[in-house]
Amino acid sequence: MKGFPPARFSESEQGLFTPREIRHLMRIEFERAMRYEYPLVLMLAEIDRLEYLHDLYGFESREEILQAVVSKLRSMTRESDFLGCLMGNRVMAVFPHTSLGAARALAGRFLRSVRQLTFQSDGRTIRSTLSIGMSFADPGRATTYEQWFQDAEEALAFANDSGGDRFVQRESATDLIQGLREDLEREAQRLASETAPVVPPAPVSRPEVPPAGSTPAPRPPNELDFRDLPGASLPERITNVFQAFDGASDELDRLREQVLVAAADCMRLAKERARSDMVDQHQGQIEVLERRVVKLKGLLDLTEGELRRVARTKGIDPGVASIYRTVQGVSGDDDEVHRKNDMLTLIFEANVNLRNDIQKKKSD
Amino acid sequence: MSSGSDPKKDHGVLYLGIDLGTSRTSVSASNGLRETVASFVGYPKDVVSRKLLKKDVLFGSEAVEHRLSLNFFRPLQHGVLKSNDDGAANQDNLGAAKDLISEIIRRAKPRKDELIYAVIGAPAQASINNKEAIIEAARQSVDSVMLCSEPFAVAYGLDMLDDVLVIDIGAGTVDLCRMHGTMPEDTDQITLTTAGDYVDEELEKLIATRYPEAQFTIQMIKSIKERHAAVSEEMEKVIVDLPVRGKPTPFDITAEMREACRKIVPPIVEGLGQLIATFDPEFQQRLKDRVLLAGGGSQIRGLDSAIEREMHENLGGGRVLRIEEPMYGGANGALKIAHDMPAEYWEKLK
Ligand SMILES: Nc1ncnc2c1ncn2[C@@H]1O[C@H](COP(=O)(O)OP(=O)(O)OP(=O)(O)O)[C@@H](O)[C@H]1O
Repeated sequence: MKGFPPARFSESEQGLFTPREIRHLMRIEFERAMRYEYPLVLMLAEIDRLEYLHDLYGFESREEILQAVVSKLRSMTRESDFLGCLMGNRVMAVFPHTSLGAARALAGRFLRSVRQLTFQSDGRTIRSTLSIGMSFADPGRATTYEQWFQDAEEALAFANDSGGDRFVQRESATDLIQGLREDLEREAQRLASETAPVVPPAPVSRPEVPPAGSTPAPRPPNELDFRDLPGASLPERITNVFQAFDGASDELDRLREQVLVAAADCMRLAKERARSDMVDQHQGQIEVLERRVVKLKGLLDLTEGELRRVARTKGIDPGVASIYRTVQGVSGDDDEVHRKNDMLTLIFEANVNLRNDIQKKKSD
Repeated sequence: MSSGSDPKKDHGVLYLGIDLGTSRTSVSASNGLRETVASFVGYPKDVVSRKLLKKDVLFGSEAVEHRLSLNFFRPLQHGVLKSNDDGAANQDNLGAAKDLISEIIRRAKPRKDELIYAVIGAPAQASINNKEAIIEAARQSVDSVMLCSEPFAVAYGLDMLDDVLVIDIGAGTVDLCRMHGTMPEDTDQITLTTAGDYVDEELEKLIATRYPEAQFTIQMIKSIKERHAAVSEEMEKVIVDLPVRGKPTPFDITAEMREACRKIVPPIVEGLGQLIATFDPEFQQRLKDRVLLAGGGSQIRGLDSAIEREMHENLGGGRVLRIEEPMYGGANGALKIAHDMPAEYWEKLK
């Protein structure tokens, strides 16, 4: 990054830059990118359910996860010329001279590597996932720093709301809908081909579950993804989890936690699917309506043409429309608006007097 | 029409600026149309001519062309509607004026679903009978109408609201008007009858004196003037063909043209002098330097310089500006007034 100290993560006072300075530097970098016309990617990343983990496993585990994720990201980007910082739970990073494709690949790598991280807490293994919101400043398309930043924030919120463990690149509503469409299509294909029996969920902690004789073998942890379980209904998942229950009471506690997490995941999934379906449905309706508008407009043109033709043959002139739809008045921008209005008032009053005189003359 | 409360009229507002003149009536409309028609109206004299002409009423040059088979009217004279001796409007003329106004509005092609608001530039000195007739005529075709002084409309159209002298040279009258920010009053206006028609008459006399053998009508003289009118010493030669015992013969009328056209200059400058002398001394110089030349008659070539020269000799200086579209100056200005008029004023006069 020209003119920049090698980019580093910074965490408040201990880092190279304070968050405020980072935002300032980001703005400078943004303006430079627009001026010299190179692409710039902003990524905002958040660890999914961090607060939940905090509540579940305590503050230490939260800090540990955060540190581990940040150092993972740091190690993965050691070579690249970027600027980043940690603010609260959130990692912000700016990548100059980075194409959209490269940024997507990088985000994918982030997701995968965070998914593979495991933590131990009280003898339990904890896993975590990441949500990433990206926005891309393309010098060819006019945008502002604020918009660029807001886009990334909205993308992050979208990634979060959609269940996490994903990156969303914020471009435009159309792109979003398109992306959702593709997701849905993929999902539908998977559903169609999915014949495998229901697999047990294991979103956060898992391997301590006693090997279940009757349940199918769990997938390897690094492949686990709640999105891979679209066919599993909430009761099925709960049943699966409790099939593993051997009666011990702390096992019971742990299993209950699992049930909780699984239920939450399922609900989120259901919500996400419902929303995608709705977006899809609305998009479909919009398309139908658009087609109807085009058709009606065509009909209207035809009708107007026909009316004009009839009017011509009958010698009726429909007239020429005025350029004004409403009454105008002196423009507020006119330098002389007050004087002109005074004059117009005088003209009006003279006309009122004239009408009165005429009236009087008639009644005499 | 005139029933302003017509509920169907919600599709637009058509503004009209109308200049009602002795020789020409013009309209500028907010749908982009501009039309002008010579202020002549004719009605077929009998059933035969009505059948022949296939019309109940003819206007402008068409009326002139068929005038022998028409009851022919020029409803305005010296800028106002012709009236009977007792001052009451002549009913036939009144009818013709109404038809003329309806016709000019029709030519602006208003749509039936639009509100029509019109401002008509009328000579300031028009009598109440006259104004009543104009309003009555217009109300048949528009939703709301206002009259305003013609020279005021010209100045307003050019955004020259302050300390301006307008010279509007028409056919019947030359209107001189002093504008100083408010509506001109009677003392701000002078009307002269040495206008376009006067030039035609003078030219006719001069040609008849010099070339008694030439045959012509006043209409021929008028169109010759409109083609060649000029006042400068260096003006192009004016050679016209006039019949002598039926045979077209060329005549050089350069000197006659110059002399006839120049005749309107001294009265104009004298009138300007009066308006300047009775103005606030502090602003007299400014007034002298802001003289606008408008109206069809202002198209006499070199007239602006001739008036300036005469002002230098008699008033110690002055600057004359010829407006760009003399034929539409009044109509354009009236259109601008209509556009700028607040909605509630239009509503109240419906
Ligand atoms: N090119 C021209 N050169 C000289 N005079 C012209 C020319 N064209 C038109 N005129 C004259 O201008 C006069 C008409 O001017 P205009 O139409 O402004 O008057 P008007 O508004 O009808 O008359 P008034 O103001 O008296 O009611 C006529 O006398 C006509 O002959």
